[in-house]
Amino acid sequence: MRTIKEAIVDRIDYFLSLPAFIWQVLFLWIPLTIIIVASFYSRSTGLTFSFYRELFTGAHARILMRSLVLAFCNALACLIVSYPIVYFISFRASRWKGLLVFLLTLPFWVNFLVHAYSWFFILERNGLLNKVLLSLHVISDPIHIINSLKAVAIVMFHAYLPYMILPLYIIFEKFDLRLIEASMDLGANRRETFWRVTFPLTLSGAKLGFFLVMGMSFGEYVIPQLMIGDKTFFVGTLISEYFILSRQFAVGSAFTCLSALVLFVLTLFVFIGFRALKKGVR
Amino acid sequence: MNKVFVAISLYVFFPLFWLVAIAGFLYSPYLSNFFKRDQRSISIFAWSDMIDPDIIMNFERETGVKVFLNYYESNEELLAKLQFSGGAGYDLIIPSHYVVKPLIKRGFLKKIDKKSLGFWSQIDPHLLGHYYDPEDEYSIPYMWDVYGLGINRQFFADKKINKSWQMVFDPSYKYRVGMTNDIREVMDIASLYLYGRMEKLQPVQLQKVKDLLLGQKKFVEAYTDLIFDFLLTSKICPVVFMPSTALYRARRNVDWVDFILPDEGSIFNIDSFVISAKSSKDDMIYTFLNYIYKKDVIRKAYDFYGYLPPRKDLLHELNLDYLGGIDFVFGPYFEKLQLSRALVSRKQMTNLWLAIKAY
Amino acid sequence: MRRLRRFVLPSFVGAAYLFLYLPIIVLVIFSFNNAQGTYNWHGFTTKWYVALFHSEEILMVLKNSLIVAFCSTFLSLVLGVMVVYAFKELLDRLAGLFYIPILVPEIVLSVGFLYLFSFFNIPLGLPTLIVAHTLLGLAFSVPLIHARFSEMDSNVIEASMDLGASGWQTFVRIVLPFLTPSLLSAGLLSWIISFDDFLISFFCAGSSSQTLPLYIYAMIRSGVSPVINALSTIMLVLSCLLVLIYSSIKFQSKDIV
Repeated sequence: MRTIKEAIVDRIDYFLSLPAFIWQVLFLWIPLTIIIVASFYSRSTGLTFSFYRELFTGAHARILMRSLVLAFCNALACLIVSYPIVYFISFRASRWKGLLVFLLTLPFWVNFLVHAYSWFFILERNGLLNKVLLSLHVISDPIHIINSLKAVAIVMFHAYLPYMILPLYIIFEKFDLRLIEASMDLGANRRETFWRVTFPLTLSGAKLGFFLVMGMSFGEYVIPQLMIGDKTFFVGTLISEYFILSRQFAVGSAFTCLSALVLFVLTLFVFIGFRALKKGVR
Repeated sequence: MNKVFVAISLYVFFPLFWLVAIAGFLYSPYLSNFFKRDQRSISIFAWSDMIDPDIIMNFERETGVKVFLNYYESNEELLAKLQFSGGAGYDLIIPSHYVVKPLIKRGFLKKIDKKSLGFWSQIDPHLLGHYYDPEDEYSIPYMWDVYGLGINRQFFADKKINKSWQMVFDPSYKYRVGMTNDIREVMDIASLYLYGRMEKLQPVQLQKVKDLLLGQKKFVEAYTDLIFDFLLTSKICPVVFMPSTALYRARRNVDWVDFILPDEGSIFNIDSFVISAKSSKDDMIYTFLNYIYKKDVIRKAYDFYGYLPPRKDLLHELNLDYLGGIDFVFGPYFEKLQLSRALVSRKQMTNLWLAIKAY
Repeated sequence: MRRLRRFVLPSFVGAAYLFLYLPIIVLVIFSFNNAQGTYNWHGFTTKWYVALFHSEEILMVLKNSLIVAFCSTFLSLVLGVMVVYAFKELLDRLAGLFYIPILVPEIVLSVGFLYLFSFFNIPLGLPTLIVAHTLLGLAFSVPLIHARFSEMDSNVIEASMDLGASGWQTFVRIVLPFLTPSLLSAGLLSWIISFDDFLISFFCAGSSSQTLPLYIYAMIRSGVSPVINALSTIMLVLSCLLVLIYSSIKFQSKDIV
């Protein structure tokens, strides 16, 4: 017994660090492997591509396409809107900076489900938006936003905006303001300074935020499910349908792998796009 | 040599130690269940939303028997969970009618001793003797509901109401409709509308059903399973395909909604109590059953949820005018009622949903 | 015209913040609405807040969520510290490995967990949730704690040992206090992620152990219920207070240093 205790004390670093690594292996690597293996294995015929072949339908392609487009557009919209906001907070806000940053973090404390639920109060037929527009006589009939793709887009944009703002903000904060001074001293005007100094150096934050939002938007389950009245499948809702409702695990795994692959390909394209942007601006 | 041996065994021992610790943590619920078994308790497996917690509390207080409620979300989950444990861990299960036959076939159920059930004679015969349990040996009908069209009377004050599924399928109507989020039910009424009563659908017929549903989708507001009454009472949809329970709930808030049973026929669901074959707590089970089928207890459940009761006496006492009265539903209309069942294979159903919802 | 240009950016930012907060404002207002199942205003009342405290279901799911959040945060921090302290050099290269759970779409993780637990017959419940959330928590705790630990001068540890302190004493008296800021931020992040998590709970909590987000989801699907508004308003106020307390502590400790 004594030797074991001594051995533990001796190699305590190994002993203590094991759990974290075991966690990764057991709960990340093994499940991912199971998914991949399950997509190729059928109880009756062994190794097979049949589950993947089932996915080569117009329906599946449309669903994947829809989620991709939604994810990309959402990330793009978030980026375009976030960038000026972060620019303002970082460079122009001075006195209000602390308050503005605090106000940014507060929405995180409200569960995103509750956010989506709150949007019903605004977008519904008898909701705030319609009431305001009707009373201002801008429209004569209530506009129909809820239970449609428009509602999904709005709520997703709203939900992921903070996730784009924060990485950008972190990068902006690391930005050395003296570089702007230096650039102006060297003769560049404001616009040139922005495009040739500020923008390229903050691009890494934009990239991070973009990938974060795009990746999360792609697999999103709740917002599409709640806001579209269950009329359309997205990647997240279809995977849930396969695994929870109809329990077709093998096809579901194949679809999961396929979606992950498709997302990866899109990410690659966006990565190349950012590279080109960086080069172009230089 | 000794040191190397010790070192190696520790590189095996260390990970093993942590693995066992983690496994112990993960499997701990089994341990607590093991201790639970000695208690005076029964375990029920039901659809969420089926049993009023108040009823359970009262039962526990009156008899001292603890009731553990477990929920399932889909019938596939029910089958999968029972498959794992072979039915052990649950005493009573409340499956939908179309799950009962698979359960019987797999040997998960125990025969019911009808003599121990004081209320058996009160069960309405229209709920007995159906295809899934012809001799009623394994299942006791508990609650049931019938599907139809919820109508906003005010909207149709100046328009004609057609007692047909056409109201929800015909694109010439300019309003939006609500549908259920269950492909089985949707297919049932689509096929009733197109072909009348069917047992199975051929591929050609399936295609026509698909075209009908795809055409309908443009004016479907939502496929839902929980907000039928809301769609109707908030005036978003003047017509909603819904179960009778939804209309009951809507009537609690407004009085300008009606329920229509179309002339082509309709579907109904029966939820039954079944006893798990692996259960050994017969006396407590029958005590519970006799309690929950008491007239006042079932009345309370009806008042709360709106599911129609199985007892003859209650059915004739309650005001079921919104259905057209029980003598209508169980009388001339009964031959047009069909237990909702799968018209095609599960895979074909999923593919149909996929085809509809991909667009 | 030039003068007005100065107001373009601030107004844009103002509008953006308004957009961001609109649902929250509406949420809070309607928590006082004297009607259920409708989006119309029917008068002021606080009865939903009262109903909240009488609801056994909400208290139970709240309890579940809190248990899972605290346990998984505790585990992430403890395991994170253990691995960072023990394996610092290896982690300089491998810390990035722990980020992967965040990069993988959550739904893929959830499916993986479901598979794993089904495969090994592990009953779905609070333990499975805790384990799953710890994986996510580790993704934050390991890199954050590691980054902080790297800033520590290793000579301090050596000096402490030379002066006669045991490994344990060195750890508790010297390393741990130094790591505290990272422990706080990693802990906070892990806690929020676990408490707010929906997708993984949806797949892995089993139908018998509901957490708060799952309960809210079920209620949302059945329509409008101001009890949700009341609950969320309370949580918002509480977290506001927490953040204020946290930043004032941070402020004070900066003064001390």
